[in-house]
Amino acid sequence: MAERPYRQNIKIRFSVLHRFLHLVVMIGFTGLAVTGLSLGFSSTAPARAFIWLVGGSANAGWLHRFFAVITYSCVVVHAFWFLYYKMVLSGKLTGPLSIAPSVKDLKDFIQNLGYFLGRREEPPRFDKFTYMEKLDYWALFIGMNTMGITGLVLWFPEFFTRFLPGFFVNIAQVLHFFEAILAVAVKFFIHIGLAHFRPAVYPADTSIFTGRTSQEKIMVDHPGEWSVISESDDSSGERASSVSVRAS
Amino acid sequence: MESKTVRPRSGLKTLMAMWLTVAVIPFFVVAIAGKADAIVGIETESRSHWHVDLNRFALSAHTGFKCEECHGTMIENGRTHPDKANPDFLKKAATRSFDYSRCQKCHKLSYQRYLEGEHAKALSKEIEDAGADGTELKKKTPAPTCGECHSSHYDRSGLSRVDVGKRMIAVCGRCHREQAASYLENIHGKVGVNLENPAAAFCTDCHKAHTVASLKEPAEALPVCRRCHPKAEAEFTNFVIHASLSGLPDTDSPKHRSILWIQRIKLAAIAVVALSLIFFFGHSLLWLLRELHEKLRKH
Repeated sequence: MAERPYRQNIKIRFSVLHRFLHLVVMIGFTGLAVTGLSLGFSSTAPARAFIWLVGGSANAGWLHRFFAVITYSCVVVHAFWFLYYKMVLSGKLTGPLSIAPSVKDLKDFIQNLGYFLGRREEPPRFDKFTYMEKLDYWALFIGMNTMGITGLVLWFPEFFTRFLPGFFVNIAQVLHFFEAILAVAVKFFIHIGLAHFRPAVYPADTSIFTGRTSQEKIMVDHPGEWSVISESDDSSGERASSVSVRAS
Repeated sequence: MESKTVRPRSGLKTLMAMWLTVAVIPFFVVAIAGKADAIVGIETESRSHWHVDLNRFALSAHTGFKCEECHGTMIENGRTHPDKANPDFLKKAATRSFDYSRCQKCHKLSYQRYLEGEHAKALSKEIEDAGADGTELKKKTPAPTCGECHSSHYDRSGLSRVDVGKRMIAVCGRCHREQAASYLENIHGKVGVNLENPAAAFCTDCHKAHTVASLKEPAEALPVCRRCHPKAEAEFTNFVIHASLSGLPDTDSPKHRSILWIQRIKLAAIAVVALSLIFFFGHSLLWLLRELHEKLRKH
């Protein structure tokens, strides 16, 4: 590998659109979490300090809605991207290179549990996205929609109580609060922990920001993806052999 | 350049690692420090008592008044002071024996409203039950006279809206404990009392200061909601602000059923969140441990 020029080892894992959307969602989600938790846990000292910092609860509420709009617009943009990808670019929305859930994810999950418990020597042969990465993605995609629905009820209670019972606003509050707790706990601890702090990737994985990953990383972490890429590649024979060397 | 192989952009990587590590610490600090209670800071003046602290009286709204402007002279109504005909006089609570109709000399409107309101009704019922002789009640929370809520010797004037609102949590909450607690769980209480937003609705903004409306009827509540939510319609009033069953006497009301549903959904939400977190954290911890094991055994 050493004689090969540096640039040839670099593979693009995330397109510019995906990097940009991740950055906006990252900022939007953090903003939502900070403002929302401050309003939800308003009796605590850090919450009151933060609300003081932004100049009162009305401003915190405004910021919360602002971040909600930009975060949700990323969901909309990505939904349109799916359509564009399928219709115009004639891309495949399923398969080993896609984010769509598949039966293999379930198998991977069971195999991974076996790996955790020492029943298997190797982790499962993940595709481009592991089941955990897919969970991360779909949790946000679906979660932003449910948070959006309950959030809209809380934003416009006068409008929604024209056709919903009044105590549905209370229920929206309960669901919005607990889903927020779940989302914050999963994104800030599980997502960041598995994407950056896992011993295999520590201290950080920059691919979501630079878009780039190395061929070696794909071979080791996403062998399922590599076998698909290398097949469609001209020099597939040589590279495929190096996969088997590395993976074994 | 060619010897530099797999690690692209190591500067960015170091920066991110530092940032992530640094960001985790304040998160735990915030999570642990979140114990401070907003109510601790609220101080209310002690209620009226036979002994008056004139230093504090001098700071109150009523400072500058002579005693007899409110209490009358010592020989008024043919009584003497101390009253030899009624030696137990001093054992009665001051707030029960003072003639609060004297307040209307200055606070006419407030007193009239008080007479129309629920608190005055509760007081006259209590007096009826106690008998004509005015036997002292042993109740912990007697029906309120003016002095049960207002400290005529110590209450100050010129408090801000938020300060008055916070005091009401303590003052009204002395009797309406459940309602004060449930209000603080609600967005109105969180924003008003905890986060000190003067635009929020405090106790009297909905229930009115002296008429103390119960707002049980939607028709009664709607104009109150509309003061802040002008586009509200009738169903809007069924939003539950005091979502607590223990303060609710009647168990067959729609409100009771609404609160039951709210509580059921809350329980279900807690269960879902707890189970999800157990799965995610357990799974990820195992993953971490396994990879740590891979690293350690290669040494």
